[in-house]
Amino acid sequence: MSIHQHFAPAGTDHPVDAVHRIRVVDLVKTYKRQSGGGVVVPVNHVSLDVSVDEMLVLLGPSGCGKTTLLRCVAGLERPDSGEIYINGQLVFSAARNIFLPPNRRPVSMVFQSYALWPHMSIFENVAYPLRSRGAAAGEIRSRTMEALRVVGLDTLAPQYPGQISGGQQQRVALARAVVAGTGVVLFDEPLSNVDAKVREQLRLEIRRLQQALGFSALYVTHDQSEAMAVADRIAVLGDGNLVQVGTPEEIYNRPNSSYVGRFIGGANIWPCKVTAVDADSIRVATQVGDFIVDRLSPMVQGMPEPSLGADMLLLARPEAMALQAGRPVDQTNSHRCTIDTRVFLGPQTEYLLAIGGERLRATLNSGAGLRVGDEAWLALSPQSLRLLPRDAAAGVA
Amino acid sequence: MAMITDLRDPGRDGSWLPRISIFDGFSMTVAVGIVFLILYPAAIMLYRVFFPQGSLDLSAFGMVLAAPWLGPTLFNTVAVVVSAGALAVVTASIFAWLNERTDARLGTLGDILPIIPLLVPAVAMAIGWIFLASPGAGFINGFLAATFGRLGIPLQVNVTSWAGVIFVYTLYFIPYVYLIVASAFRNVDPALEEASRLSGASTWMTLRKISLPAIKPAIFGAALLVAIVGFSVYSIPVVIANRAGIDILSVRILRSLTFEYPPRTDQAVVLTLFMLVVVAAIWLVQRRVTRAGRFATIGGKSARHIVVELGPWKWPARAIMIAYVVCTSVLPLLALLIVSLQPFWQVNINPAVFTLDNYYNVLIRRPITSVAFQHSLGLGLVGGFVAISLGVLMAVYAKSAPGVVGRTIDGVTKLPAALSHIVIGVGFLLAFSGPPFNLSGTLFLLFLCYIVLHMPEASIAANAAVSQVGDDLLEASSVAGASQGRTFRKVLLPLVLPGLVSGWALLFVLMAGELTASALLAGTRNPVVGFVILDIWEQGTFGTLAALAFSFTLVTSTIVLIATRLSRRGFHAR
Repeated sequence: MSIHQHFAPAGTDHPVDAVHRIRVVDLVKTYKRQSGGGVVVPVNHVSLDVSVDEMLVLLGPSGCGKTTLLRCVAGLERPDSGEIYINGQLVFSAARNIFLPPNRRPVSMVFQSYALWPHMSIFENVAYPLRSRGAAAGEIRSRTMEALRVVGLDTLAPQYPGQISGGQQQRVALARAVVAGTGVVLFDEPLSNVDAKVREQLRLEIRRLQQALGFSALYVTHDQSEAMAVADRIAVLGDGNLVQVGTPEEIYNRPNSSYVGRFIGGANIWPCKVTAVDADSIRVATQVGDFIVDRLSPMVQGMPEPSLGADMLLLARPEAMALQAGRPVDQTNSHRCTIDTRVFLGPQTEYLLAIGGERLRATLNSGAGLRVGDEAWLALSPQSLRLLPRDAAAGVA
Repeated sequence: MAMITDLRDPGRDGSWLPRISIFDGFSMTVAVGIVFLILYPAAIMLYRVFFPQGSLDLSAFGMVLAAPWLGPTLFNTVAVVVSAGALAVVTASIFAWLNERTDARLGTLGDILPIIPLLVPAVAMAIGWIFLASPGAGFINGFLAATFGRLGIPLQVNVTSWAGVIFVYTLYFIPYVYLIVASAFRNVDPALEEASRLSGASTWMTLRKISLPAIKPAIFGAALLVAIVGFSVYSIPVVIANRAGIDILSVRILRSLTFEYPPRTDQAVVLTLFMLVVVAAIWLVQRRVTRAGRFATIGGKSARHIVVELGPWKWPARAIMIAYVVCTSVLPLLALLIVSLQPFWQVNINPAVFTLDNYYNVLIRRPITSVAFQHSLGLGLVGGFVAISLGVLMAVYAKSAPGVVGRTIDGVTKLPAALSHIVIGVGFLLAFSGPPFNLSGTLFLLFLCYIVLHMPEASIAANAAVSQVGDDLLEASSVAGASQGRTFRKVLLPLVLPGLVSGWALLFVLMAGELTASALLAGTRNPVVGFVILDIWEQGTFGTLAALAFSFTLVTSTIVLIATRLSRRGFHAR
């Protein structure tokens, strides 16, 4: 179905798209470099959709363009080209010269810095979106108190932002974002200013709020565990490009590039050459040793079609690496290595292995009794390995 | 990758203000108006001196260069400004270090130090020092004669001397340097100094190798400011240097316009150009110096700095700072008060003859002084309000406008600071007093000139207030559905108001007490306090003078203190 069948011309409200709350089509945003000339492209032909009540996380390292993309949706930045629809309404179109300012877009936003107004009480901060939209006095009072109750801060209504803790401030920002019931909430690294413990609490709370109140969200973060915790789907960005979109499980288990694999979960990735292609397995040669990759396991779905003699990359998750002191009975995918470094993390222990000139990470349940300098045997099941294209450096899907 | 974050400049593209609007149009008009008010007089001035009869004629230059007084005047001016400037930079930097880094800090008194020139106008301080330390009749000399004199030690002080002139100039310069250097000390990332101490460096080595290099640009900036202020200051030389027989450039310029008939305009303009060249030269040197090295980046954290314990030096250090405050405010004001209460200035203080006649004369009986009083207060109140409003307009516009326009506006509003009050005053006199404007003798001429003169201060105060409001607060309002007008009214204005109140107070004092341009542009038809004070000074009726200076100081300092108190109330901090 084409976009035009979905949406009416700009300016007129159109029945809400049954599926999509936010639709970004081929968006481009560039900046001129201030010194040295040239341009930076923080958003490079990005298209994505956010469904009703879906939380889509934009994930990537700092400077990958995720915040710029979010600000384009909010109307705080003006993109160069492309289109943006919110609730089925065209809010930006370069071709048709449409640009709705932020206050006329049906969105709300949670800022990294909370952005609470210090001269207004908590109540006034939360009531502000309702007042801006001209709600009746009684409605303002009841909806503001309801929003504060949802985040558990109704008793703090008369206080001022300077008088409450950082975690409470972020809850106020949340209440302010949901009070007007815009249906679309934008989160710009909302948890990066609170400490680790509060962060874990708040991300659960954001998830709970989203499921209880029902809103669609675009959520920017550079923290992959935060992304996993709150996302329905994750969109991984690199250098302005959309590299991969999928559920947290898909992104984790079936990265489409070494960029995604490395960014999420810290995979071991090293070069290999395809030496045999069978119906159900592929054999590769690497510096570490030879490996067999199972072609039928769900883990390898969407894998590039390998050809004999191709240079590719082999991916193995640290927790898929089995280590033992003695030589295993089944010698498939088993190679000898040396324990280089050992880091105790409580329930698990992380090892850095020296093997065939490569350094690989392995995460094992604690109690394996391996020490630094020990020789050990590494074993990888053929179902846990994934082949990736060699040319997939950062940013190319 | 980091480039992108560096380049991302939310306010610029953040469209909480639209690209082209009434607001933008108005801002552009104001900016153009200010440019006109600065450049047009300058152009007229240059035209008048180079083309006096419509053709190129450099005779004015030849005449001034041949004048016998030119060499001594330039030498005197440079000698006074350089020696007093150097003394002030050293003293004020030490004061700043003492207050920001040592246990000799003075707390409230340290906060007052930089605003002393706002509380006590320079002309009041200068006249106060004449009363204190004139040969024979000065109160200090009376005290010295009554104490040391009786013991057979003929100790006397004389403010109407080279040393006296340099002393009062130094007193006047110190707050300018202090303000800049102290804030630089405050802004140095404490980690830099802590790292130095932990690397085994002593207090002295840390100061020499880390702190001083970090604040070097501030010190050069302060020196530049002192030079600009110093060449154009008129109150101190007209009061003190004149009596000492030391010919100073600023006095020479104003005399050739106001005391000679017909006015020697060509001579004044040539001298003004000399002043401009000197200031431009200093400015170029300063730019070279600050650009030459990489200075430590200054973080905005308000973290705590190491406090150096001075031990036995703590109280001597404090005593010197307290002495400074006493010399600039307490003593001169006391002298003004005593003279104003006496029927005539005499060295013996006799409370039995004290009378309020002088105050009655100044404030009620003599029309010219009471009218001048009203004019100055009115110009200060209204002019301050208009200037700060324009400053806010420019600041908000510069924030939302694209890079080049924003920088141009910023540059234009700062331009008058690079010229001096005399240059601008002379330019206004030549450009607007005659046809086609015919503004001579009007308050409106003074009003326009005050606005232009103090645009830099207004713009700095407004920028400081506006830039304290993070873009995210405005963006949050916009995303919450508020229109631009609502965002301005409900978020920006309440947040910048405290800063604007103190900015307004600053402008009020500067305008109400303005002397240099007033001496040129005011007259008996449009008298202001600065003009009247100088007029009475020439007549030599000291009681009236003291009463006027004292009551005016009282009014302005009261308003400043109230405004400062109001603006410090702040928000509900944790």
